Amino acid sequence: MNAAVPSLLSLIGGVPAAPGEVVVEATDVHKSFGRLEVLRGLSLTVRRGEVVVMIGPSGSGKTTFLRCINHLEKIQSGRILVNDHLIGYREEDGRLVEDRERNIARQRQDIGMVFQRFNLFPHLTALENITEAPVQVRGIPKDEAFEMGRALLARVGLAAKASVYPTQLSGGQQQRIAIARALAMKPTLMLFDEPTSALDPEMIGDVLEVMKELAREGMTMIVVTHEMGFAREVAQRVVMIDEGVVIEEGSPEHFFTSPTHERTKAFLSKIW
Amino acid sequence: MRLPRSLGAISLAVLLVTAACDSSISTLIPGPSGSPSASVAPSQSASAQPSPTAQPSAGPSVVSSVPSDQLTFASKLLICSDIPYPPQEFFDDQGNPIGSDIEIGQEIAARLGLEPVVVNSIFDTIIAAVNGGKCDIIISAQNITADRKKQVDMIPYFQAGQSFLVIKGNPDGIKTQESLCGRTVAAETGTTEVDYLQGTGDYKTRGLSAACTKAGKKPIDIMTFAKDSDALLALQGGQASAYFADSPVAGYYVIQHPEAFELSGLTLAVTKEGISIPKDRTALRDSVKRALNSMVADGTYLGILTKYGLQSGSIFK
Amino acid sequence: MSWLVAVYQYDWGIFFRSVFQPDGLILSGVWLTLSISVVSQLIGVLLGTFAALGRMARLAPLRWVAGLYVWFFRGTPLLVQIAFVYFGLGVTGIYRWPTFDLLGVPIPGNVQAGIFALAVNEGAYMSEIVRAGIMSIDRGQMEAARSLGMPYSLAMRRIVLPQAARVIVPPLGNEFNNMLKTTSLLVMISVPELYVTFSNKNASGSTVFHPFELFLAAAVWYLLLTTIWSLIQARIERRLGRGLAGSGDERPGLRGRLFGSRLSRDPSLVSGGR
Repeated sequence: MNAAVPSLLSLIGGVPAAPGEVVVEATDVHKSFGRLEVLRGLSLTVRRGEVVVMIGPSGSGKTTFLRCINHLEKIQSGRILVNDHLIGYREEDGRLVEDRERNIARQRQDIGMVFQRFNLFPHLTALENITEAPVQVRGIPKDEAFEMGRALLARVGLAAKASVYPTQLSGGQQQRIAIARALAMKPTLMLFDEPTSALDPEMIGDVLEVMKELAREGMTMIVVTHEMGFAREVAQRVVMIDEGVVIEEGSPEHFFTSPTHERTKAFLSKIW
Repeated sequence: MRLPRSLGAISLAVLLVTAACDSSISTLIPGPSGSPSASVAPSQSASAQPSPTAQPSAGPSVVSSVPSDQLTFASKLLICSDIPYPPQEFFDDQGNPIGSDIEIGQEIAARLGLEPVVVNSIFDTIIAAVNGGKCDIIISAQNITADRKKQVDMIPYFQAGQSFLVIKGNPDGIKTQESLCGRTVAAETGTTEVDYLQGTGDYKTRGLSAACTKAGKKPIDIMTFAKDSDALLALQGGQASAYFADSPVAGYYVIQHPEAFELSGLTLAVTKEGISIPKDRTALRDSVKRALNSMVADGTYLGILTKYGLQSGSIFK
Repeated sequence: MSWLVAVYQYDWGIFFRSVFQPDGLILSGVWLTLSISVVSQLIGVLLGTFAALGRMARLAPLRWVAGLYVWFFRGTPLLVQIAFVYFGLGVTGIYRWPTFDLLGVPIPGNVQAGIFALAVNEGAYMSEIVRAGIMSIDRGQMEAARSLGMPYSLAMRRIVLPQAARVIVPPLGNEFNNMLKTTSLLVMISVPELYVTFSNKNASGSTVFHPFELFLAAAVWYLLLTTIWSLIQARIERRLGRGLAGSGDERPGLRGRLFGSRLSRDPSLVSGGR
């Protein structure tokens, strides 16, 4: 890496160096949509600096689980701890009670999320998209936020697009800005929900590049994706989810050379 | 390009409905003596038969007939009146129109061999209503004024002064013309009371508000309402210091609600009231005059006025 | 049966003077109509936004109160509301609408009552428009905002409502157009706005008994107000559409808005009538 160019994460003050520390601990998570039980006792542990890729057939619950981590979805039973704090709920007289919105919002400040459909704010420019949350939520002064925002934009290769509106940008450009937007809040954990599934093939590479750089610099990442190349290159662990539970997990080599579970083999043979 | 069939049906329906509907702001109310079968579709026959006299045996005899081309509906006399304005026109508990004006109108209709139909109207467009064929005559406590006589013929039939009604206890001290200055007075739109306050119409030289400003006082704040009863509500609600209407009406409210109202003691200008008839209906006008005179002659007229305590308003000696 | 109608004396001078040489009464009537409309509409939008948010709230009591408000004021005629607010409250002594001094300008009680009734009524209709606008914004926007750590209220204020505003402006424009004309109902409580001014001219004074020319002139004045508003509305829509998808080209232009066009019949662009 070129020493003159600052690392992506250094622009936001780096990430905590505490390898081995547990960032996400999910225990026996159950979630239903109405009568349909989607998560059936899913447990997962993610440590600092790990890049975990979640794969599985559609309907397996991997995206739902991801959204439970930052409490965009509620859970019916089980616990999820992020940075050692229960998310979405708090203990009250030994029972779990839904937490106050303000508390959840504060916890979300430390968790960045990148969506399949980017979800950029169309009424704000690229730069404004990035600086909106830092200014409004963290109270960072505007010039400081704008300076950081410009630096982030430059690092994802879009410095020239600072004053451009999302509708005038390609999908790949929008997604890179979405990543920068999430990073601007200085999260210690990044969640990616199929970040390249909605992109045209020629743009996938650019987005994956940014994600790989993040991974190399030590960001803790949980990525739901079908991009096996990415998994092979940067993931420490691949987790296979089917019918609401983890049915297999291991290193990328293990998965792609000798998966054990029947369904894993069946799934991988279809996409790989 | 073919229009959808439903479009044609809808247009036809709309045409029929608008043709059949009377579009004025009035409702047809058959008088108690008439059968409530006042259908809205006008009878197409122009047969000029004087209507057969379907009189109850104890009723008066027909003194005059009216050619049916002078009436909106043959055999009916449509009477426009702005209800309520008690005791000259108002509703009983069943919703039937009653009052001295109503009974005078019904009596006239009987003596013309016609079925009376009362048409509740809004006062400030009541002349437009009669000239527009929505009714045949107006009996609605209308003072005779020069402006009105330009639009319709008016047959004098009653007289009354104009009084100020106030809340019991007269909290704003309305006693003299001067005491009105700077105060709010509520009255009905289109009445001579408004003319009197504003100094318009027949009251150009003696406007009450102008008298105030001439004397260096604040003008009168005039609130006008389309319905007289709303003007009374403004008094009750404290938005107006006084309610200005014909004396019989102000007096009536005091009689009915002595715990709520009192007369201010200020009464102005006794004026004659007239029955209004469109200018080109001379035959109708003459017949109405004849019917009125016959009522006066046999005491029916005074009897009606006395029934409502209005005998002092009689103009016939 | 007689279709005889007395011969009417037209006086076109009354019409032309009323339109081209309006006297102080007409001008103050126009001004009152305008100011009442603007104030009532603004308050109505605020009330409507709160009611819309209330209807989408998590707390059940908030939802009920908002729902009740919308149900009641959309389900009763505005005329009844005006009469109740002014006469009903006044006569019982609950509230007599005393004149209120606003920075030295006395606001008569009936004008206050009129604005109150119009605003509260308008809020009920606006709440549906605002709600539809908010719900038309993709869920992903709220999700993205919240995942960045924004609480619901901040996300609503900074992200969802500004986008919803753009969707709301066309039906809001229609509502204001209605409001300009609906103020004429204040005849009930003797507010001297545009219609009442002409109605009084017909009822007394030198122009008495000329409803044809007078009400035609009144119509011209209303047309003037609503047409000017259409121009302003078109401008606002263009401004808000800057930088966003679907701006400019597919919306009905001024011509379409005034005279009707294929696009102006798009249900998402039209508000409900009453």
